Amino acid sequence: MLFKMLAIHRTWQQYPDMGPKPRQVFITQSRVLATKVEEYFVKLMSSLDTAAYSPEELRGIGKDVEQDIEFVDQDDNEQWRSDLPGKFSELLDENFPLFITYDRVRISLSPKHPISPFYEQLCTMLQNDIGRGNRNDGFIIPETHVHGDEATSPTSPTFPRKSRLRAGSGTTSSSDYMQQFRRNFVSYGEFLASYWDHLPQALTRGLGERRWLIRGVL
Amino acid sequence: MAHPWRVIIIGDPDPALVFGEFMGVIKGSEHTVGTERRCLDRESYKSVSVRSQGTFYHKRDDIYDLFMAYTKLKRNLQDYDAADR
Repeated sequence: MLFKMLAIHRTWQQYPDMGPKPRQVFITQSRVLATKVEEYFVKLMSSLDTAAYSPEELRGIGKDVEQDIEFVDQDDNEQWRSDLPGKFSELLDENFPLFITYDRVRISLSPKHPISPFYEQLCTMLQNDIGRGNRNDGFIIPETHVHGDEATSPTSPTFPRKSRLRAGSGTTSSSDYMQQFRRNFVSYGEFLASYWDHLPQALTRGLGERRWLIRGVL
Repeated sequence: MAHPWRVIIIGDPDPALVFGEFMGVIKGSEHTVGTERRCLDRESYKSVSVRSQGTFYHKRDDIYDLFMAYTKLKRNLQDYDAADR
């Protein structure tokens, strides 16, 4: 899956004229996994990029490789991904490919802030788009069971996951981007309805001189 | 050697077969893996074996013209299809 994402991203980099930047999202329950996968992705991308470097540039790189080891548990890091915008529709092309957790509403134990202000994850962002997201009114969020990968979710009795996105509830509309995305998919039905009559009629109408020979197996 | 299984249908091309040919052969066959733009160019398409993909064997130039028109229209509409993902 990671390599498929990499290939799609790489193809777009090499042929930007093929279309808008592909907005790829990697979703998991675990921050650790999301972080690790992103790190690996960035590492692979940078090693692809270094192929184009000159020997002088390459010498410079080696010195920067040393990394600080973090002893912070990402699950306790309230600032995690706080660089992302509050709403899904406000995500920019630069934020993609996006590696994000599905839902980990953080419940702070401090009485002043019943909910941590930092939970910029997918559900919250979508919710803010839908208009239901109020960061201060507690964690009463409509419940819908969504099939997630429970195996990747670290159990955390102190911080139960309360957030569930209400899916398909008729009154809600997803972000413009997602709707746009779905509208722009060419299925066969779409091909027949919107494309077929706009293709050169000399080719699609097999009358007169232009007869089609279609061979098939019975 | 004659092909005992050959059936010839004369008439308008079936849009489902044409779309299937775009997706399954021009954009989706194993031959496209090594190509830069992820689809067969005209010459490669015409040289695909009749045994493996025989539906439009005699009309491949026309099919490719249709494919080019489809691709152009798709780009103008900023659409994408299953093979673009």
